[in-house]
This record gives sequence, structure tokens and C-alpha cells, in this order.
Amino acid sequence: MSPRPGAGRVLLLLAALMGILFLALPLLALAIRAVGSGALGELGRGPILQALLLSLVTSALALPVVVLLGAPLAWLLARGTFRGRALVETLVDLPLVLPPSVAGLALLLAYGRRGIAGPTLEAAGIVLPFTTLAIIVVQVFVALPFFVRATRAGLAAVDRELEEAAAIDGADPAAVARRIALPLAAPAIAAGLLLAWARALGEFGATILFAGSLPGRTQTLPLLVYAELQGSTDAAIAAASILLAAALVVLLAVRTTRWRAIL
Amino acid sequence: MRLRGRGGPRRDRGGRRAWLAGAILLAGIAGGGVTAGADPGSGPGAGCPASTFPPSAGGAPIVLAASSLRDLLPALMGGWAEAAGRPIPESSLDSSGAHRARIEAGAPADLLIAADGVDLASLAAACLLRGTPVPVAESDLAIVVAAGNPEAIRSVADLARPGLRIVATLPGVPLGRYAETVLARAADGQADPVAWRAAVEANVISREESAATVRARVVLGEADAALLYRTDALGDPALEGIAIPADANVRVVYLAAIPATGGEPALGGELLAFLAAPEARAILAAAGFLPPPGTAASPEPDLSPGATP
Repeated sequence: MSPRPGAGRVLLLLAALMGILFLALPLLALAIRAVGSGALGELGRGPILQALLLSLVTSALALPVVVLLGAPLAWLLARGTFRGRALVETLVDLPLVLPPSVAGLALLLAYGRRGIAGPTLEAAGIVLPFTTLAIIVVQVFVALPFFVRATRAGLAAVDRELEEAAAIDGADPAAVARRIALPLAAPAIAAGLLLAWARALGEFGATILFAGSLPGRTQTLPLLVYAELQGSTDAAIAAASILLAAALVVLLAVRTTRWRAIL
Repeated sequence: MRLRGRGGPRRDRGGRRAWLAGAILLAGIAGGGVTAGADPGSGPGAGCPASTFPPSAGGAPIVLAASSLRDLLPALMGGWAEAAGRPIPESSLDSSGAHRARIEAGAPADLLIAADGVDLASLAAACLLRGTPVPVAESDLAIVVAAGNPEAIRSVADLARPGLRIVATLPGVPLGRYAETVLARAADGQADPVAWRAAVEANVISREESAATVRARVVLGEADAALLYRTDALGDPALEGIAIPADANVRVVYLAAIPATGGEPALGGELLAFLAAPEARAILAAAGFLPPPGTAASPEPDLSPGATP
């Protein structure tokens, strides 16, 4: 802070303050309403617990898939030199900016009963849409970029000279990855996992299109917020408070990983 | 399909505000019928303060309509605009429950056409209606399937067939309330009503937010069957409707009212009057809707969702 703030600086601070207020007020309003109206009393009720459990289970199951698909992709993008790299990078980033409703519709047209791969899947005994599995598919689709981007950035930041030195000392590539690259990139990978989980937990638009909304089977917490707007506002507020708290905790946790730069 | 009435215990929790208690009371009364046809658009209901929503500056009125009116709303709105020499109203289609939630949140609206009286009763109790709701059309439910009826569904009883994929609505949507009545009636005719209902429930793959999205699931082929309004099967070659006999069906009454949140209540009143005019009646009839009670030779309306036809 400058000891003698000029008029320009005051204006700048004022504008920044308005920005902060703009972002904070809706969240504060939700928190105030949740506490003030006793909506949090709804938290113990069956439907919310059921949706919370479903959200936790599906997002937890989505994470290993995200790692399985995302880690090799991140490695490839961090270390590989190949043609069509820009194309792969764009593809990985696409779910970040794609409207979730578009993702949901696209998933339906690909894996729906009348989708491109639908009949093949159905012949194999797999019906995806409107199942709990569909939630996980959607969550992986939208959360993958967060993990790939963070992990890739973490791997790219590892000093290659360290790896080369280890290789000269006789370490095989697997040992180099295990002993040097992965430990050094671990904070970034952890941050990527946290962000991917938060995105999976909060997924709404693609889920409601591809997985539908059925309490206990496909109605996750964000879907319950929407459904309860027509039922009990208090239940919607209670469910929304959980999601707000989860998002807040994830962002605070990412800050502790010293990889906040990827935010 | 599970029914959650608006006056149910889920709503009671937040009952701090007096109007909410009123809403519950009125929703209960709505179960026995809404008074219809009395002096629409004259002002807020008894005991309500005068509207505090300022009129807008001569824009088009805003119409919120039940999503099952999708196919004929443009014709209705265009017809009124032409007859009245006004701009075509801005309109939005969604479930009546979603519209109610929006109006409660202060969304401007000059006319609300709902698929039953429950949400309107709730709005009236919250002093968010001018005048009382007026019935504008009648309908009933049908089983809607893909054209050609690939699953060979003949009656409501078939909905319990194992493996059938059914879509329903979220609780709080009029279609869901009507479907509940139809299913309850069908269950009564079964040897084991509870098991039959459980079998139907097990076939439900999703609960959608409006009649229009339920229909879209059948059009897309993701659902084999859905209980929808009879008119939903019309006007789309991909769909086929299977009629439900009158004694197993439910009487659907569309009601219109003027929300207190609109800036053009006078235009809302004009629109409401137009819905009863021969031109609008013809558009409704062409789309498969029946004239509302009172206009044809029909008995005193009982607008509760569970009313016997």
C-alpha cells in the first residue's frame, strides 16, 4: 500500500471492492438464509442425505477413472512431442468451456439408446443413460480437463536435469518417474485431483440431460437443489449450502498445496 | 410415482412467514376445488395489499404457460396480438410449479396458464394473483409411446411390465399430480395394488422437470412410455397416444390467472378474455383441447387434481 494514495488508486480500490462485493453477496445471502431460516435443519432429512451419498459415491468413483485416463494424457502432453498436439490440447480443454447442456446432449447422442454407440452397448448388455453409471460418465467427462491440466503443468515443471542425472546414475525410466517426477509433481497432481473432484461433485447440466433425475439413483445434490426449488425451498438451500461449503473447502485445500498458480 | 402435495410436511418446515402458512391452508382448500371465473384481473385477492409492482412502459405482456401448451401457444399469442393490434407477448414454457417458483421470486408475468389449480392457489395465498383463476381448457391423460407402439402397450396396467422404461415428472409438477391419480386408480384394479405400484415405480428411469421434457424423452427413444396429456401425442409423427378410458382417467383443467408481478395487468386481462373468445377456442380445439367447464354442457367444475371425471 502506498502511504499517499492518489485519486486513481482510490478509484481502483473502490472498483476492486465492488468486484469483491459482487462475488461475495450471493454466497453470503445463501449462507445467511441457510443459517437464519433454519434450512440447515433439512440436512438430516432422507432425500438430502440420499442425494449427498449419491454425489459422494459417484464423484469418488469418477476420480480413479479420471486418473486412469488423465495421467497418461498429462504425461503425453507434458513430455511428448507429436503431431496433432494442439488438437489434443484443445480437445482436453473443450469440456472446460463447453456448456454442460451441450455435453449432456452430445453424450446422449453418443451413448443414448438411439445414440451412435447405443445399440452396440445395449447388445453388450450396457444401458448407460438414466443410470448411476451415467452420472459417473458425465463427471469423468467434465472433470478430466482439470486433472490433466494440473498434472501436466506439474510434470512440465519438473527439472529435466534432475531426471537426467538420475538416469546417468543408473535409474531406469520407471524409477525416475517414481522417485523424481511423480514426487515433485505430487502437489500439482493433488491440486488437480481436488479440482476434478469439486467439478464432478458440482456437475448439473450434463447430468440432468444424460442421467435424468431420479431420487436415490441419479438425483445428485446439484440436481436436488434444482428439483427442490419446486418443492421445499429450505431443502434446496440446505443442499446448496453443502455444495458451497465443499467448493470452499476444495479451493482452500488447493491453496495449501502451493500449486494455487493453476487456479 | 410419489406425490408430494404443496401443503405437505416438507413445506411446513420453513413456515416462519405468515403467507406460507396461508399457502398451505389454501393448497389444502385447492384439494377441494378452486373458485373459478369470478371477476378476473380486478385487483389483488381479499386481504392482500395493493400491488407494488410498477407498470412497464407499454411493452409486450409476458405470458408464462404450462409446457404442454407448447405447440399452440404461438398461435394463441399471435391470434391475440393480431386481434388486439398489440405486439406479440413474450412467452415462456415450463412446468406450472417452476412458473410458480419464479413468480414467488418476483419474476414479472402478466398471465399465467397453469395445468392445474394447485400452484395458482399457492400464489393466491401469497397475494401474488390479481383476481381469481379462470378455467380455459380441459384435457385428460394418455399413455404416450413411440409411433408404432413397439412395446405393444394397451393400458395403464401394462406400465408395470418388468423392464419397461418410463419417465415421470418431479414432484410439484401438475402432470405428476394427475399421473398419480391415474396410477392410484389403476392400482385399485390390481390383485395386489401395492406390488403393482412398486413395479411401476421400478420402471421409472427419470423424473423430469416438465411435461415437455417428459415428452422429449419419449421422442428421443430414451423412454418407452410416459403418462402425458392427451394433446402431447398429437402433432408429432414420432409419437403415438394410447387413450385411457374415462373411468380410469383424470380430468385435467387448465386455468389462467393474472400474476401480481406483471407490469401490464390490463393486457393480462385482455389476454385472459381472449382465451375465452371463439378464435382462441378454435385454436385450442384444433390442438385437441376440450372447452373448459361451464362453456359446454358440463357440470360445476371440480378443479382438484384428483377429481373424478
